[in-house]
Amino acid sequence: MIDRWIFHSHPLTVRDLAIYRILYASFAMLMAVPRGLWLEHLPDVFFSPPASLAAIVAAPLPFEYVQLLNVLLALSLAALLIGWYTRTASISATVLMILLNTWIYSPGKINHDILFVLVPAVMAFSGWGEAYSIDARRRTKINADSTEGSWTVTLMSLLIGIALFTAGWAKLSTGWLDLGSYATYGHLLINYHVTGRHPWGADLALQIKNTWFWEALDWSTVLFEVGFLPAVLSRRSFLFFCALAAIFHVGVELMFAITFWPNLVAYGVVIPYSKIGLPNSIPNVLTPVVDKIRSWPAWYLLAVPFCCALHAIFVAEEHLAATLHVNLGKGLVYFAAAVGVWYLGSRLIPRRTARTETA
Amino acid sequence: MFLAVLGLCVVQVDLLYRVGEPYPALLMPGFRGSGGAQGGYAISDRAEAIFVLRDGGTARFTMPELFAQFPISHYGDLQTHLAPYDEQAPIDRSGLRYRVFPGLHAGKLDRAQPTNRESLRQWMKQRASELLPEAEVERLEVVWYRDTHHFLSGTRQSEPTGSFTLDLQEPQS
Repeated sequence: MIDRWIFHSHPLTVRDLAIYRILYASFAMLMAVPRGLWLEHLPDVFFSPPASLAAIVAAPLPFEYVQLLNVLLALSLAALLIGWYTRTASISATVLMILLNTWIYSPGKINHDILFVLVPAVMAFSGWGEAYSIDARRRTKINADSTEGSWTVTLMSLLIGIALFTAGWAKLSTGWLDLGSYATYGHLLINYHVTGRHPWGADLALQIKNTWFWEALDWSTVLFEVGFLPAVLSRRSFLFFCALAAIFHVGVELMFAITFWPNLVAYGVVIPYSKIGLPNSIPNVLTPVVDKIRSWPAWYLLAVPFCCALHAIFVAEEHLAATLHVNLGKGLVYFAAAVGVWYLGSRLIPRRTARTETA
Repeated sequence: MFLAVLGLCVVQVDLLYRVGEPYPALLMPGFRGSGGAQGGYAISDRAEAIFVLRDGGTARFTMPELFAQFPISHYGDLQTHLAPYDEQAPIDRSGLRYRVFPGLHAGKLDRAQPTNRESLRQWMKQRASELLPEAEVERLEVVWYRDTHHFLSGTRQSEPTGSFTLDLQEPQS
């Protein structure tokens, strides 16, 4: 039974995983490089790391190292994007993000993008580099419809379930379910008045004096987060919780102005991309482009994203999406919520139709 | 692999209770406790930075304005470096956790150390010159307030709870 859960609960093909690899690497190139360039301005007194490598080294990271790690990360992600030495690129991307984050969180605050960071290392063993990649071009025998690597998706779903459960447990064990605690209200006030985030959703929500509303938010948040772990046991329930999560994150965005896009990219691992029916126009446009670049040497293909990332690190000193004035994180949050609503709707509506027919 | 993940989870829970939240760890934001909300009101602490100028004038800034060059998620932790504190209070660095992690919470624990105080003074001087390019700044006063937010009336009461002062003039040799 455990074998069936591990190897067959998420029957995703190499093709599905390869599309996810390209999407993941694209988001990471656009949104996650460079990271931590502000460490240059951080005075030593603010170096107050949690238990981590930074606390063992007990010294801030020289800025040249921050730049070097960013360059190596850009190289890894560029290689991941084109699928060149994919396994090495995947593992090094995770290691480099963890190293950078170790010092980014050295002022004492951890930002919990760990699921996004772990994706490449886990998926390194999935075969996500064996389609739509340079690696695939070099191999003769590849079955793009194989689902052998889908156990990594189960592992990723377990990591997601455990991570969300920890958040729910922290709330459950510190009084969120006590009637009259209004924990969401309390945290919203701190976020609004102390941290200084003032989204319009918070302005609106803080007008609500109905205590049942705030209590319901506390309970639903805890139940949703704790419920994520048992939901891991079946693909259907896990997809249901991922859809809820997408809607949850848009709520957090609207009320707290916390754009938690990294988790949404991580949830995306469970989507069967090759089964999504695209409008004919998209392959019609893409096929000639892909045919043209298919013959390019790997170095040429690597150079394009890598040089863009170098520009982001050394010239723009901000990630590519910011340079392009595209709020990709927010866009992803709203898009994912729309997909979540559509998915939940598609799960509920056929049942109702069936019931109506029976009646 | 799956068993290793479960094993690592046990290790991280152990670390969590012994040394606080480690990094990396498979954890999501806990938002522990009620955020100061209880029984119809919520309490939050807020700080305001006041640069006192040489001509006696003052310039006030919120913490988000003061820390604008850093990510917003760090403001809450950064402002604890500007909280009132007792310079004579003993620093407890005993226990295995400080032997394994000698830099654990270093900046917060060792605030009174001359090198850290000087580091803060230099950064604050730089920040003052960016925020007030024309002014000669004498010192920084950070005033802390405790805000009580009344749930039903939507009103807020503030009372000062303490202050922290940092001389920004060059020490006389």
